[in-house]
Amino acid sequence: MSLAIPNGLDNTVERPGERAPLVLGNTNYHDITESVCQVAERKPSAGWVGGFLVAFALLQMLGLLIVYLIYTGVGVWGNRAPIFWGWPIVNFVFWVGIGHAGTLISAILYLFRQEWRTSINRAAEAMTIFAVACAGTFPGIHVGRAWLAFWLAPYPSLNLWMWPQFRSPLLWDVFAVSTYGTVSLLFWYMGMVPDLATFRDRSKNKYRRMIYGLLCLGWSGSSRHWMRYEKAYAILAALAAPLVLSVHTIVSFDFAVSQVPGWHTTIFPPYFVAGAIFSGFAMVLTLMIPARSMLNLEKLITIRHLENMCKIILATGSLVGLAYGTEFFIAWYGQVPAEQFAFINRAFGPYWWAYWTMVSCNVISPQLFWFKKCRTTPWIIVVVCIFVNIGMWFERFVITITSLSRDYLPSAWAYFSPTWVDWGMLIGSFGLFFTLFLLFCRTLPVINMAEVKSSLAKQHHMAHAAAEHGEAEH
Amino acid sequence: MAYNRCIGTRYCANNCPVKVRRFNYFNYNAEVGVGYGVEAFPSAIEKANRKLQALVLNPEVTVRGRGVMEKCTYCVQRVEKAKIHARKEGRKIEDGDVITACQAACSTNAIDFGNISDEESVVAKKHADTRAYGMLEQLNIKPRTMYLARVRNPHPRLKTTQQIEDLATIEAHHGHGGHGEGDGHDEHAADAHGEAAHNDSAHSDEHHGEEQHAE
Amino acid sequence: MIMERFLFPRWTNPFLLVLGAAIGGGGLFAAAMGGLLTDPVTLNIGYQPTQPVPFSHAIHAGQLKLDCRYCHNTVFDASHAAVPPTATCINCHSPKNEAGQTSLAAVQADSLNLKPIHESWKSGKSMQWIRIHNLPEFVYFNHSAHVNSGVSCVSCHGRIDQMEKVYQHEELSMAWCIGCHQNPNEHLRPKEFVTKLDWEPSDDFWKEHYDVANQEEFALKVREEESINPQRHCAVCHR
Repeated sequence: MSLAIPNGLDNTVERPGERAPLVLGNTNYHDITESVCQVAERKPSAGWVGGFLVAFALLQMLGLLIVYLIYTGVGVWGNRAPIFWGWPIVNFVFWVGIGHAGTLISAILYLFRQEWRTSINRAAEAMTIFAVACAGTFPGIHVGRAWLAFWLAPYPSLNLWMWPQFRSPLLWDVFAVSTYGTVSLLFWYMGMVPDLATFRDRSKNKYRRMIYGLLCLGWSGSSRHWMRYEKAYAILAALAAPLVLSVHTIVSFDFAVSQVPGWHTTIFPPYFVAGAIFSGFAMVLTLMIPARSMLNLEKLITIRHLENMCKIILATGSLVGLAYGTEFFIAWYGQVPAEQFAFINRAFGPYWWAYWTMVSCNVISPQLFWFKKCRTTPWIIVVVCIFVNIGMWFERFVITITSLSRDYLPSAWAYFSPTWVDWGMLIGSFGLFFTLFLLFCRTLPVINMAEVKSSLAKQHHMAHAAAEHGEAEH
Repeated sequence: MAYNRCIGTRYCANNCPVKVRRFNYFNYNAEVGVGYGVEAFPSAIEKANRKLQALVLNPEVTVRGRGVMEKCTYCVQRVEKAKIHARKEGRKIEDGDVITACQAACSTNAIDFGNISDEESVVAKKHADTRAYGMLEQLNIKPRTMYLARVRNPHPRLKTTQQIEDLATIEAHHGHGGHGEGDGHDEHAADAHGEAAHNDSAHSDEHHGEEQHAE
Repeated sequence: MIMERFLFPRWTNPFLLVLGAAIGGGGLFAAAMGGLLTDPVTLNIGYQPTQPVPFSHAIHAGQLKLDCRYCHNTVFDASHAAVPPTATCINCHSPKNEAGQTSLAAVQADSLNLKPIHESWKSGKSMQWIRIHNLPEFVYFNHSAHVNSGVSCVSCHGRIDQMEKVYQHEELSMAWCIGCHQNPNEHLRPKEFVTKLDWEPSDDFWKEHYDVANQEEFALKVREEESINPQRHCAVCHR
């Protein structure tokens, strides 16, 4: 099975009794340090500069649009009765979903001792945080009076003695997303401390040394530091693991707790979480595949890593497909006319195009990953993953907008059309995401060097043991 | 609505099954002297013509600013006024104390408004009518606004099967527990209000001309 | 190589203490600012602007025992307790004409303090009194609903009859309003004494007039009879 993988870089073949290597080539510890540090230390490439300028321009656009929005009123979006929630909520849920892969990779896979997470977890965590930042932009500006959005936070107010409505899922959302953002950020930063120390030690100018020195909190690499680091990391992983499941569960409550037909379903929490992991992994792959070739990291982020993620995408994509089917089944089985209508309307109503875009992107396209060739050919993976990203955006569009556009009373039905501000904000949120991601590539260690080195050590150890074993047998 | 507490998440409007809520997407009162930002400062508002324009606003009702949700309040300012007036006279609220704006404007008197917890009031009686129905009652939203089904009286030979069946159901219902239907409605009314003893009020509409789903 | 590392030197350790103190102090400061400084008790109580005329409630309502309703005459009928027009002042303080004659009663007709009143009377322009008890525009308070239920002026305005210069006596915040709507009993009295700010019932007053033992029982009785059940839902005050 040579496929398109260059010689010596194929680690996707399973050999019973032997662990597949996760670091390829004759890579030693120093090579790992070199290949990760060069990403941030060399002069920025033209591609990076160009990409950054575009992303930054889009971010500026987002900023200006937010100013325009707050100055004029939320009517600048396409939201109109009965579609009171439009693209901003679609974007919010989309970005929160994207933010799920990072913590899943770093916390849950860590607790399950999945060694292959080591070379991808850092970038995935960074992505999580940037995606949560994008997501966090929307709810705050989505409210009619953004200057009072702080009323969502429970703080004692002496002249009212009033609290926010704790029975409202919107308030749960504030807690869920902000907790998730905080824990992810801490987890990401904690894991980065040893690598920041490496950056500090390699830096050639005073300011870099100072900044990385402050950031790595005086890391000296002593055994005591390592022991405490490992402990803290395990604790944070254990804390973060349930959050992976809780965040999108609670985001789904925004919909599930309401009584809009098409929203009011108990399947939403698992369905949303599966969808979130699905879209998160798709986004990780979409970014990681171009990045690994542009930053020369093929030996660390191997085809096996990509293949494993493709398998997760296949699994979660099929789960999402099952959820789509289940929704229809329950709508029929539940015999609630409004519910039945909501689902028939989704598939065959005025938004049929959105529904079938969603189904073909989310359910059909990942089925390609049943074929090993598709799981191991980077360009096919990227194409499928982009489809998945589009499909998952449409999933949120379908849920939010088709359900609202036609609920109980036909007299209140309407068709949603986005405005240029809707488009601008969607594109601008990508600008925010890529600005942060590109800055991250240039300033922080994109791969968890310390952990990759430890898995390399295990790899060497095992190879060594196997060789000894072989000798003994002869 | 406590407009001053509303931050405009619009979640209530999403959840409203009858979709009666409307949102202030923009500042719709700029022309009548309500400003935001720099416009909010008195120097801008105190211009004579703006003060004059502001006279179109009802001083008994909060001017809904940009970014808040609103809906029909059943003319809560008139309701409160009537309640306070009744208190001054030391009596309970009666039929005719509250005339809502829509009621005042309706030339065919199709709308009645009053105290549903008072069994003798016109609305309570109409709520108890077999013709009374609420919109989307099956969702357990306990609507206070009730409608009366259209009355038809076709020649018996021209009745459709559906009409005959419906009539049979209604008559069976009536014969069964006397005022069973009516009591049911009263309970609804009291539930929806919670404060039945305190001169609260309710609302009933009656649509004669429109096609209703009575058959 | 090791020497070049940026590690925190030992002398930075005391800064940890400083950092801790700063965080703790900052928290305290924020609590003090947010909690005490913005408390309506701090913000509202004691607001005492200088009026264009140094009208003394202590003299008029206290010593001379003018009833509140002589000036604030709409209090039992309307939501607003009217601020009197200049004409009400002129009833007693009418100015002298060229001949030195006054058209009505002429208490202190020469007082310099009354000059703005006399000017207002001549020109027809209203006095620019400064409002002290001011609620936000989204609050609809109704005086008549309260005084007709037997809530005295003193409950919200304090002993105006002892104030040389009127100031805000209560916080007039929402929590304060709701506190009374939750438990109105102690503020209820017979309607005829609502405007008597210094009213103290005699020992046998309740027994004699209402056949109850004390004010508490009176409150329960009158609430039952007149169904005084203050509401706490939004639409009571917000429309």
